Amino acid sequence: MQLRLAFVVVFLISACGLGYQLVAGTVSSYLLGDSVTQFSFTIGLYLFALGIGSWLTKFIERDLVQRFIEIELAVAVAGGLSALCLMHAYASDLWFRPVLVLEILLVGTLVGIEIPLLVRILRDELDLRELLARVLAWDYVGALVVALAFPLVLVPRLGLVRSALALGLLNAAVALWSVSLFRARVRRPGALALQGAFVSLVLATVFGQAGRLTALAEHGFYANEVVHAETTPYQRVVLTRSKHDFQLFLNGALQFSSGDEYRYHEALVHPAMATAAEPRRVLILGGGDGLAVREVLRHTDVERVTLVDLDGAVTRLAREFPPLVALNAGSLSDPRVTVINADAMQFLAEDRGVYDVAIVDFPDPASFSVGKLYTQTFYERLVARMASDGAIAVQSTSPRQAPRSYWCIAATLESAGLFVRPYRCGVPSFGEWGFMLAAQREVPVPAKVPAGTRFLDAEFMRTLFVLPRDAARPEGIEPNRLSTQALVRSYEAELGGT
Amino acid sequence: MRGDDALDGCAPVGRRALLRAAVSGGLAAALGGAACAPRDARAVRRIQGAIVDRENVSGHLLRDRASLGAAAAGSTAGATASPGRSATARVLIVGGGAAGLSVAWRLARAGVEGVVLLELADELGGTSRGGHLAGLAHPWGAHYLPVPRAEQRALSALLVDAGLARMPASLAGRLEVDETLLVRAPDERLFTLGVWEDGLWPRGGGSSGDLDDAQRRRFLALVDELAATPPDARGRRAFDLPLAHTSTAQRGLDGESAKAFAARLGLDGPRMQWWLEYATRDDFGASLEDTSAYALVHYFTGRQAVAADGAATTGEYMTWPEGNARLIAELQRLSVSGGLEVHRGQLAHRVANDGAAARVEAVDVATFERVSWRAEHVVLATPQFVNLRTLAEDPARDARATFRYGPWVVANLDLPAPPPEFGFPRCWDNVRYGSASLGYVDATHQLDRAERGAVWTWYLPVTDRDERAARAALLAAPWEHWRDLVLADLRGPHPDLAERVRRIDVRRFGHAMVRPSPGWLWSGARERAAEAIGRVHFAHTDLSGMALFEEAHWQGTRAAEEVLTALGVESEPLA
Repeated sequence: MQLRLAFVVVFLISACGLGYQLVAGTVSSYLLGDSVTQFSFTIGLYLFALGIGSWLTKFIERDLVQRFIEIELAVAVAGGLSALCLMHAYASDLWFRPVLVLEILLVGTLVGIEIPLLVRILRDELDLRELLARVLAWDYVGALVVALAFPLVLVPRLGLVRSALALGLLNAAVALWSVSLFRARVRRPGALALQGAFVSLVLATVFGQAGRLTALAEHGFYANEVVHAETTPYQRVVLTRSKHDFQLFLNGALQFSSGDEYRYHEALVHPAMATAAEPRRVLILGGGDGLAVREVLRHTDVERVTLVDLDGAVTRLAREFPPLVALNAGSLSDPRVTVINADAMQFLAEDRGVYDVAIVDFPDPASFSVGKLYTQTFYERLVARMASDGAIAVQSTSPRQAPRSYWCIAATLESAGLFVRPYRCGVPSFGEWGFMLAAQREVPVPAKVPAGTRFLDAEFMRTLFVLPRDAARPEGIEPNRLSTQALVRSYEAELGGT
Repeated sequence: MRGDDALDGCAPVGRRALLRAAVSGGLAAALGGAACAPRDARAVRRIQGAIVDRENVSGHLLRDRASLGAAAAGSTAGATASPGRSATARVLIVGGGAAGLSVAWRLARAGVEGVVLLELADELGGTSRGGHLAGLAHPWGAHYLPVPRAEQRALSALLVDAGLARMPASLAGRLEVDETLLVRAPDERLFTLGVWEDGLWPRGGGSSGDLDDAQRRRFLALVDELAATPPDARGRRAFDLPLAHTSTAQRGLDGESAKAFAARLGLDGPRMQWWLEYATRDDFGASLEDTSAYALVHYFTGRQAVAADGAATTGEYMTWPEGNARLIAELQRLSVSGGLEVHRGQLAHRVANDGAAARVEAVDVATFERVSWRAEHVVLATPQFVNLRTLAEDPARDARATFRYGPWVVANLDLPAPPPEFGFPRCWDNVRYGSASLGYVDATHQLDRAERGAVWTWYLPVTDRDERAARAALLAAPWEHWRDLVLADLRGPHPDLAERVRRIDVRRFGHAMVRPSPGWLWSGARERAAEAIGRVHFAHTDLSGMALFEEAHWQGTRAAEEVLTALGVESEPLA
């Protein structure tokens, strides 16, 4: 056996060992934030685990080389799959931290066994002074090299999951190489080589499929079975199904659950329809699921509905996906309905139509690109398209969970010269949900409902306009403007990270 | 700074690397591109693009007079070229950048007819030009304007004339501007320690309350204090726009460099230094060492609104997808409707007084036709380094010779599908901490549309002390050099950028910005260079020592009003 090659083994296992530690630190700071804490915790725990491993080596008495190679293969599996395991574990709040701790302890302990074992394997080849000096020197050089390669090469090129897998493959290769290096001291080199080849094959397969496996993690994120998922140029669209209901998620945010969406959509649509003098021409902005259209079409006076939704994939789903078509009663195929896939802000700047009712049903203002659809400029453009005796309804986040955001939308509508009546209703899937009824004149509380509703009647509609004390208007709310996007920041402060 | 570079990706572009690259001309080697190049080498080779600044060639005809003579002689010998002709104008403006067009706008506003403008390039606008890439408008240079106060009368008049703003109720207030013309939120982000963060102040991984943060607070408090310097008897503030309307109270600051100023105040933290120098590179194209401390403080006070109690309030910025090319288009539209005649591709190479007129000798750079212009008045809206070569007689020659200019390189990237974003979302202005570039501006930021394609405008101020050597290296480098430099700079934040860019076009400005060098800004040289010589007047932003649109427009207005007085045209002054 060539002694010099044994030091290459030291170098490689040490590099891989530190690599796993960096993977754990990076994954946890990505997912949990607060990188200082995560890295400090990871490094401390990992060094402690190395100690456990070193201590455990005293119980290993025979077959040192055999044990060393087995440990090496175990490291390859545990470390190589670590990032993927952590990503999957993140879907569960309960499990992420235990899995993280276990993973760091396991990899740390296994790596901790390696170096003392190797020193013992090599002790007949060199005197202790020389041996320790060389082994530890190569150990630390390995650490340095991977510490540099990790942020500069590995993560930018491969991403985290593949970086961990690449390190695992390297570990497995070292194990295979060690079999040939120490052939004379292993009892059944063939069997060990076979194990090594198997581990390498598994890791290589996972490496090839890493993209798909990361996507699988998504299934854990949603409470129910994912029945449809696609990534459009604008968002991630996911439909899930539970025992009785199904749900639509856009970028992970629940848009509706079929069990109680009628409450939301009746409350969104009918007050504005009851307020407009003659609700014949209706504009719906957002709401590509067709559910608001379904409610609009309950009004027999309606002549024309224009639906503007950015994402053609969502409106296609609403027209073609059977459970959704059943839920929206095929509303998007109604001859009175025109579907336009466009940016609503741009649409309002270019459109020349006039509308009696506008239903504004965008996702919550969680990003700047959605936040612009809640600005003064946006509402001014909308008002320019409205008949003077028309009415506007705006979905306005939760008055209880995000009161500043809710009232910011009211202040913004007012800044565009509108008279505003805030209202709310209970939607079990969302909790207490908020809306704005806005018009270019002072309007009474509406109390008129078409036939066929499940939630509202004329009497109950009045009660939506009674706000509880915990939804009272706070002081000093500024309107949302394109140049400030104050709403996105307040929404982030109130509901961010949920 | 360098510590950060090591963390945030491969092939960082620090100033040192850039300098080496500029000097050696061999960029790939200088940037250590070997670490990155092989992976996306094929993608890099697929990227199209060109250097698009033709006027650098025609402009050098002026420097190399021999070739000018030869070209002209060659053309007279040729069959198609004409032997030269004479032409007259009431007022002849030389130079069609922001200053020259402001002269034209001011004269048109006063009803002066017979105004002719000669421009060397194919297009008006100078460093405020714009362009189109994949159907999207983008800037080639200056790209925003702080909303002026109504007291900035000339600029306010222009914006109101152009329908871009309305006068406020109070003269002390800012103009009222339609929301869609203001920079949209989110406006700025910084790539530091491997992630994009909100705003341009490097937070250094979330630890607050450290040395740099304390220094920044101290600096901003000092700036507030300086901004609150009481106005002089004529009501002039210590820092203001135009620069000519400031009091003398704080001009002593001009005696030292921004670097010495920062050192004296103990503003020595690495993040603090970077942040300060970002300011001088951004507005003046110069390092802290090459910037007057007065100019540094002016950056933080002069372009900001000052509230009644003297405290600075944050300014708002007007911007357009095509940048300040929009302002150029408005100036041109207003002037041409007032009768302005524009001749492009004209190199004016000799300017002289001639009794009751001024004469300008020009050459058409395409046909080499010579035109001999006679005008009652000539306004040179050309930089002083050009005037040094064109003026037949120049009593202020020594003053004019003191002007220094920093070069810039601007690149526009066509991105049919921009890269995915991590961390704080894409902003109008996207800056990489520690980079020699200023990062990029998303030209589509102000647009509402469903399409994803974008154009990014990347800015590199070349702040080398020896600007002549840098200029020579800049003009010698081939397009591939700039392509690789842009990619190396942006690969850290966007690792797959090379695969996503379809085209990179590059424009080099050898003399993009006048440098407000220490001791020079208030040395009197600018004022002497601005003095009319007989019937020849001067209007250029370099006469203000700061390459800002506000100053270019004010210099143009001032020179135009000199001409109006000389012509005996009555008009309420705006300058």
